Amino acid sequence: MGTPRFDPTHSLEFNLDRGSVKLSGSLERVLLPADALAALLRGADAETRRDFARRLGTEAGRRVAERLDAGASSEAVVEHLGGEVALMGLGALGVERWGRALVVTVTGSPLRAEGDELLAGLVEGALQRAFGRHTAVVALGRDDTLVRLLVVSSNAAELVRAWLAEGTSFGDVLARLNGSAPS
Amino acid sequence: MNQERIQKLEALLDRIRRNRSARPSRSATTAEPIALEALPATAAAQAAAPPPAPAAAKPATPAAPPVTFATTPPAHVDAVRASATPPGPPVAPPPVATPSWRPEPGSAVQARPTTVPPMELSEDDLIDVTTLPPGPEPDDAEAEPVLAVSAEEEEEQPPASSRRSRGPATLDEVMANASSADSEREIPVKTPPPESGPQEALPATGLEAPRLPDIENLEADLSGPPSMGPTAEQLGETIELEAPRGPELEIDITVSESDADVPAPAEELEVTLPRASLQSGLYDVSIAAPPSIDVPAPEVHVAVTVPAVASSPESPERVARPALGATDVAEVRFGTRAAEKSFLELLDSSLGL
Repeated sequence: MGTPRFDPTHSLEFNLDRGSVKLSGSLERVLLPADALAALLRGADAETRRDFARRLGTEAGRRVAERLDAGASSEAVVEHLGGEVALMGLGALGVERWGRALVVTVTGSPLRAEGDELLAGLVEGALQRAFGRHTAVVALGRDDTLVRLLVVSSNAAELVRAWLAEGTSFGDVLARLNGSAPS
Repeated sequence: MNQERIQKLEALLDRIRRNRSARPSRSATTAEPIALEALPATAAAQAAAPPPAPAAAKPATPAAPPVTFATTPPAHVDAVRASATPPGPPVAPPPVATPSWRPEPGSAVQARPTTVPPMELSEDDLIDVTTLPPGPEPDDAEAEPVLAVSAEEEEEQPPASSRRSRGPATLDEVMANASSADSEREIPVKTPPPESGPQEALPATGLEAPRLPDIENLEADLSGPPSMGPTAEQLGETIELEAPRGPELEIDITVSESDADVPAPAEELEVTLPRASLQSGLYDVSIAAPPSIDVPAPEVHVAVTVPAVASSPESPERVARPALGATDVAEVRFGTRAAEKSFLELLDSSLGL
């Protein structure tokens, strides 16, 4: 059974008479300016931001789970989950594998560094909803356009955050993480 | 002859002295002294030497007083001084100091006393001499004999050095020289200035004239009989080659008819091209398949020990590398790709860190 391709045709519906926007027949959406959303996120507390991001990811994971099975390849997941993130206008998603560590990359986020926490929560919610795994996503680092999000367990996430707080580069963090883990 | 010269020079010297004594105001302020003392040492020594023997004793020696005087400034120098200096107020010579002129013997020629200020000439004074009008003026009557005598002396006895070229004295001479020079001179070929417009080019003459071909001779050559071969000049020295040595070689040009009748064997790789009417991608089933190519079995090379044979001068011993069969020399190995894992496996692996 082949993996279906992501087809965004007529995914976004604009009803100008009613003044509503719908995404893939889901609930109504609101088109917001990115800087307004970033300002709103700045004013919200951490728990609110986290909950807001996970809700976005849960909805995207649900749509991905409708199309993909448990044995879907990484390319398929990137294609479909990345398609959902792109339809939300939050950037281009990708996946990197550093040894045993899984790293999700997002390029071109309109929220830039202020949206890294939002993206991390989105990936957490999507993976939990699509694959039934409770994960902890930590932002390893970013450059102008790309942010790397490490997908680990909760215990490993605490360790990684501690290394990052010490000023360790993300490469060294990944090297330590792979070296400390039992093979 | 020498006696006459001596007398003339003595008379000249005396007149010079009298002229100088007649103009005392010019001595120190206006005129530069002529450096008689600056004469060459030989001349000064000769002038200061005691008077020689009578002229008849040494008639032909160049060190005689006239010759010594010739090394002093030439006669026209005195003339310059006389003509360039405006005639001052007439000063009567003191009757007591100036004796009346009397021919002196040759032995009386002495060097000028050192108290006489030397005179130095300038270039302008020399130019004035050359431009002097030919006729004397009444005011210069006193200096005229000096000029006449000096000019005559110069003509009779040229100095040791070359004479300075003397330009034409009058405008008529200049015009005459110019006309004579124009008649002898060739018209130089010059590039006309650009603003002069078109101008007829002058025919080149002299060395610049090109060599014109002799048309008559050329026509005569053309009208002559056609050449029957190279001339002797073109051939040069002909060398007769020796006759070939050795047996004669003959080429058999006869063609055997039996070989021509035998058809050429068909090439193994010769195939019949498909018909042009067939569409692209189709093949003609009527064409017979090409014969199968018998691939020879790979030869097995077995190393054989050959006993060494002493090389002789007639047949050298050659050692060649054994032939290798067809083999794949290069081997490309691809890296083993990681086993394809599903995203869920990757996720579980990352969560196991």
